[in-house]
Order: sequence, then C-alpha cells, then structure tokens
Amino acid sequence: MNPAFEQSLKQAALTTFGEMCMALPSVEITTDQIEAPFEAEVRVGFHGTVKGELSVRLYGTVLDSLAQGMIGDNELMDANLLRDALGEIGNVVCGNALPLIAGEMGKYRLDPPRPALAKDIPLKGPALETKTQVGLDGGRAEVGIHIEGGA
Amino acid sequence: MSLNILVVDDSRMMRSVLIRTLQISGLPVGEVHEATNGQEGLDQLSKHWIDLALVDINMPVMDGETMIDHMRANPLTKETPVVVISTESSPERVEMLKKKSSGFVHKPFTPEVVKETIERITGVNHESGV
Amino acid sequence: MQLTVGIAEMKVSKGAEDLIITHALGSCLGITAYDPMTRVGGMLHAMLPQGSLNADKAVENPYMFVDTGFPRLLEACLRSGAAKNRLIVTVAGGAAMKSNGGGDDFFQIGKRNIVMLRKTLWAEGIMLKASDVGGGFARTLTIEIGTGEVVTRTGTNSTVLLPAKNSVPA
Repeated sequence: MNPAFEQSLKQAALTTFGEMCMALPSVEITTDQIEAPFEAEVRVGFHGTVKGELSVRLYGTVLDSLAQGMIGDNELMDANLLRDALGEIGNVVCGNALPLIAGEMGKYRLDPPRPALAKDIPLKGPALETKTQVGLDGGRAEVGIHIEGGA
Repeated sequence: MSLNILVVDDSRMMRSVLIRTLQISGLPVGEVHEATNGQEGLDQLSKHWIDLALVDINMPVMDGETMIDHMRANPLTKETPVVVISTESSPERVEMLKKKSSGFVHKPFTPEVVKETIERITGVNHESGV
Repeated sequence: MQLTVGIAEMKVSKGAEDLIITHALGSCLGITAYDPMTRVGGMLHAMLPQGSLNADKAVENPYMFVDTGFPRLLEACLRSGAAKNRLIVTVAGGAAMKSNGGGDDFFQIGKRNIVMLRKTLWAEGIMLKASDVGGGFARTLTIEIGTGEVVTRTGTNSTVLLPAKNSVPA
C-alpha cells in the first residue's frame, strides 16, 4: 500500500464521481456502505512510463444513479448502457489518477475499459496493491491499482 | 446558418452527454452525426458536410489522434475545426493534441466548458447567432 | 424597492425598480435566474444540497435545499412571465467556511451545494452563465431586476457576475 498513490486514487475518484456523475462522494464510509453487496467492476489497463491496471468496484446500488447523473435523466437504463457508463467511469478515473501517480510528464496509453455487472462473468486481473474507497449515496466505490514493478 | 457537428466517442453514454450539451447550449446546431471510432468518423466526414468535430482520443479500431492526422492530410477536411475531448492529462501529450486540433476539453468536463470552447473556435454564440 | 432574501428563502420580481439582495452567503448558495426579455428575475438562498438529508424539512421549507429549491425558483420565474430557454442563471457562495466543522471544512457543504446545483441544472437542461464560488469568505449577492445586473460583494471588493443590459427594450 502506497499512501501517496492511495491519495491520488481518492482524488481521481472524488473528481470523477463529483464532476462527471454529479454525485456527492464522501471520504467517510458508514457501516451500511461497508456491508453493501458487490454491484459492478471496471478494469482499465495502461502502459507507458508506468504499466499496470486500475479497477473501480462499486458496492450497493449506485451505478444507476451515477449513470443517470452523467446523462441528466432519471430513466432506468439497460444493462448495456450501464456497462458503457461504467467503462467511462473507469476510463476517467484512470486518466485522472495516472498523472498524479506517474508524474505530470509520464506517458501512457489506456486500453479500452472492461466493465462487468454482478450478473456478468467476473473480471480477471492482477491483484491490486493499493486501494482506497469513497462513500456514495446507496453504497460505495473501491478504487485499486496494480503497477508493474511495484507500487 | 447552423453548425453541423460530428461527435466521435466509443462510449454511447459520452456521445449522449455531448449531444445533450449541444442541445441545451443555445448554439445554432444543425445536423448532429455520431461515430464510435476514428474510422467511422472519417466515413461520416466523407458523407456529410461537417462544420465541427468533437473527437475522443482513446478509441478502438482507430484512435482520435490518427483520425485527426487523416483529416489534416485530406484537402477536404484539412481546415475542419476539431475539439479533442479526452482524459489525457500529461502536459506534453495535451500540448501535442492542442497543436493538432482547434481546442482541447479535459474529461470530466462541464457543459459550459464545451459550449465556451465551441463559441471560441467557431465565433458563434448564443446571443449573436452566427 | 429592496427585497431581502433570508436564509432558506426565495424572492421573484418583475418590478423594474427592484433590487433583490441576500447577505452572508458562506457555504450556502445564492442562485439568481433572469429573463432579459421580460425582465423577470429571482433569487434563492439555499443552505444544503439535497432534500433527502431531511425529508420533513424539505416538505416544510423546500428553499432550504438546492435540489428542491431551484425547481421552485424556476417555476416562480416562469409563472411571472420568464421563458426557460432565455433564463440566465448565476450562482455565488459555496465557500469552505471554517465554522462548518473544523479547520479543513470536513463536510464540504459548499462544494456539495455546487455539485447539486450542477446536477439540478443539467437535469433541467439549463447552463450556468456565471459563478463566484469557493474560497473561505462570505459574500453578498444582488440582482437588479430592471437591468439584470448581478453583483457579488466581499468586504469592499465587488465582482460583476452579469453586466447590466440597458439595451433591452422596455
């Protein structure tokens, strides 16, 4: 666990959920939020100055309202659109976390995000050395990162 | 006169967000065309008159940067304004993308930033019309 | 006439001589809406982001919350003759006040108020024209109904958020 990386992940998550999903993420997590069941995960690989994978795991019932916040619409969304929204969340968290982690001059490319809802086949990927979480209305998000060569 | 706009992003959600932004911006928007990657974007450019393209960078099949390179090499689309909309944050990359395009909007963005960028590039705004 | 908007209150006017004012905006938001064609304007002074924080209070006084107050400001402006597609919306306040819970503004109420306003505007399909938010100080906000001029004041400094539109036909 690298405290500086953890802070960078938290910052990127707060920015993405607040500005893109118009949600009110919190640094504090309640017991209910901790116990919320798994809802969805997205993984985004990256390579360049730093190489590895970032994961955003959602718990509780948060994805619908995150997606609705993005689009400004309270309609329920189909599974494909939810996966799409989840992919974009992963993409933006990763894109905003990496400059904080790799330094501003770091160069990297992101792979297309791999989203999966709870009903989908679970994602496989490397173990995440650094993790953080933020509270969301109805659950929480856990953001983790694996960096090759150690974090 | 209104602006025909091409929105290129592999995320259906992000295309919807950008189209909604255009709809509420008060800008004189004409036809809006969509593409899910750079290759589809070039196909749309060959079929329709486009006044402005909003282009994501990180896309499958053909990324946005390659699409812009192709546009600049084609006399018909050489001058078409392009706004890059991307999560890219490293100053070096952003600088390079700015050189290749007419404007850069960093994700996450506010609808106001997208509107202001389009106004600045096209010289069109809500109050004055075209 | 000067119309003062208290905390968790809203006022709308179409009186060309009216000035709507609210004082001491800390983490609270002062939100103005104005139609330059019909010269209808209003102001909301909301304290907290969302009514769901206290559902009873939200029913009793919806102006206390950004997400329940703004739609009512919108409604009241439309009832007085404003058109939604002409409404110019500005916001002031949303500061990180130390009194909110220690030196580092633990609850970030100001910031959360701003996010909720953005969400509400996005859902309503309205863009934000201008803002003077953040920092760690209180603001006073005014809107002149006759001209649409919106100004914030902090101590002796003033900022014009929306300039007066004298050219609008009466």
